[in-house]
Amino acid sequence: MPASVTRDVPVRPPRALTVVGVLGAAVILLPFVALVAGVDLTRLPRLLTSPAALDALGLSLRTSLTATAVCLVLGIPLALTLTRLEFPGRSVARSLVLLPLVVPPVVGGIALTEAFGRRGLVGEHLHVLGIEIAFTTTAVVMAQVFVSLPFLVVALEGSLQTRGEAHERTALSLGASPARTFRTVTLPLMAPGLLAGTVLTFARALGEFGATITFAGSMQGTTRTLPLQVYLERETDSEAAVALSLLLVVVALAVITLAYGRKRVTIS
Amino acid sequence: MRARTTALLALAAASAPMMTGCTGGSAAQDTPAGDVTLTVFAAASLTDAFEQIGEDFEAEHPGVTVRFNVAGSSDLVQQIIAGAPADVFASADVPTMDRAVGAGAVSGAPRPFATNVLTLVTPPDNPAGITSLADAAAEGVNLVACAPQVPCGQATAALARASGLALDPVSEESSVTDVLGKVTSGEADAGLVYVTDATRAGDAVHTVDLEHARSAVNTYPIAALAEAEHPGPADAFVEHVLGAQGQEVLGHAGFGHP
Amino acid sequence: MTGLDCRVVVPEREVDVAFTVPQGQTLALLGANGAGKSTVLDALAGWLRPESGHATLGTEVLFDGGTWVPARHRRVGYLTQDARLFPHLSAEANVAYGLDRAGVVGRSARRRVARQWLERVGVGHLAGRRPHQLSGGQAQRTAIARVLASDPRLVLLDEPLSSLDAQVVPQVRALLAEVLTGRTTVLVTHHAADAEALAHSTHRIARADPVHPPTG
Repeated sequence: MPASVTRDVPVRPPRALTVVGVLGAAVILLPFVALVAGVDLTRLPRLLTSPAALDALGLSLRTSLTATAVCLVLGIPLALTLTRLEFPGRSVARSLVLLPLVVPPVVGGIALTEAFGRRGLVGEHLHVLGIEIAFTTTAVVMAQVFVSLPFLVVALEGSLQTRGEAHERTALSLGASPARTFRTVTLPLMAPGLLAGTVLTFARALGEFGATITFAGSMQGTTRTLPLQVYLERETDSEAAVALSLLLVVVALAVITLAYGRKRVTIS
Repeated sequence: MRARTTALLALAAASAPMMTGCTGGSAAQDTPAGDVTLTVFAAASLTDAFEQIGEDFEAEHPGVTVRFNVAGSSDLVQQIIAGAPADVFASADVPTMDRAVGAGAVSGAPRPFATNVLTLVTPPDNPAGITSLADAAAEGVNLVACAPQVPCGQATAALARASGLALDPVSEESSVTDVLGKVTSGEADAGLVYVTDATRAGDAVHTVDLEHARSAVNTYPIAALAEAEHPGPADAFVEHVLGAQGQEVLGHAGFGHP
Repeated sequence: MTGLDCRVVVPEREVDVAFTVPQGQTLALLGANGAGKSTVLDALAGWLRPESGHATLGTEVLFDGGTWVPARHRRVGYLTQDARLFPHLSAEANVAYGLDRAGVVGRSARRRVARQWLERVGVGHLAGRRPHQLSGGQAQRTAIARVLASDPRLVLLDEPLSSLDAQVVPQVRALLAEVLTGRTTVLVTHHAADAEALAHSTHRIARADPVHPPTG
């Protein structure tokens, strides 16, 4: 029987795949449902407004925003270099840049300590100059940058490669300098990938735990970010840990919605 | 290219979970010969001593294999309350054992089998020249300790009170292993850890004896569990830990007698 | 007076093409698909560096054995099959993009000149629209305005009409004929009608003898 409204006939995946797909969604969502169900609503306001929780939330937001900004400053040139510049060993470089994505965060923390710790490769010299990084908020930001920068680079590389160089060539042929081409063509056209990449970067920085606890330590207001606070609360007060976890999930959800909810940029 | 990107992100998401817990896996492997496999949940600080005790116990009780699940005590008690199959629970402090008792998970009364006290450790070359807790509490010294939320942090607070010092750590870690790690890597000038941790670290740290160490004694209780699959061997294991041979092994590892 | 004199050699694509275009005239470059017509234009635009050859525009060398002028300094306008308008800019801003090089100074002057160009190509009323709000014909008209507004010394057209709907082709062709008057131009096409309407002369690229036989 014809439909009362004209519409396209969708190409549906096989039904069995849909069933498995729903199962996949359950694997992702069920733990979060349980987390919400496990929250003691009567204690929630007090748990979330404790000085320790507020300190941790403030520190987490501050450091994650700073780390995201640093990632943008470093990541955009890095992604451009890796996609647009021919040089020997480029494919190796592109793989190496992704290392922090695949090593356990605690390994990242140890590597950061080896590099920037008091007796580290670089840290040794900084120590002589009187610059100490360990146990400071700077160390937290460094750990976050380390683990989240590859997220931005991967997102940007993807969008740069999909789009190609046609518009940049056009700009150059119209007499624009490389700097103007970057500012007025490359950067604006990167916007969708940049937005998605920035969100992923921020979310990853916000959730960073392993490298931080290994490299930066854990001190309320200085280095104890929200994930570290959750981990500590878990020792004595599992309800507080659940409440703080929920807070992290809500913040992460807000960020993702903000970015993907209005992802309607068309490029043709 | 898109496919590669997506795959990488998926991989990243899988391998970079938001929280990576520090709980360890089981320490001893199941040997196939035994008729009975005894499962012992033991606090992480007991790892080395209990592995030795387990071997001795197996030698004395043919047909019994001892399997360990080692982790932080609070993790273990959560697992026990959640119904994890376990025969014996050895906790690193009394309050944590009390949670198991409160949940009705323990058979009979827990018995103290070891004590542990805090000590001060520095990197082997002791760069800050620390000879006392007062030195470690001084301005400009990177002292690392346990957070008050965890048992070793409670002991640290008690020690500070007894010494009449206001400690000002640069970092309050969630586990004593994290404290030790900061000292062995040279990031911290000094750290407060258990004597047993200092013993285990050997040459990787320099140990400074503390005047008031005995003021904060941590007691380790052990108990057979109500849901034990093998109640007989479970009781026998508890007796073995409390017996001469068990106590000797624990003494070697730096533990005190209760 | 010489306009363009060039030879482009790209052995990888079996291209070896030489021709001259008198100052102010249009040459139609003809040849089968894959004969290397676009390769020649890419080399003249500075988007592709040929293995050897040369190109001289008036008295200036674009490239030869020792010289290589980068695309942004060539003043060569390149109109491709698809308009390639900057998607994030309005039609007016697209046309204004190349006005710097044409020596139009100041924001308001650039706006005015861009408007004039859009009027001239018949899309003055669409100045505020983004490319995705333009039809194919409107976009190509805007692209024509953008190329010519930048005041190129050489214009390259690569099948400029082939992606347009049949009914708008004659109008855009007439527009091209008008605005290209007096401009040194190389037009790549395989439509005889285009060549007839726009070009003063034609050059047919013979397929180079295939190095590898097509079968076997």
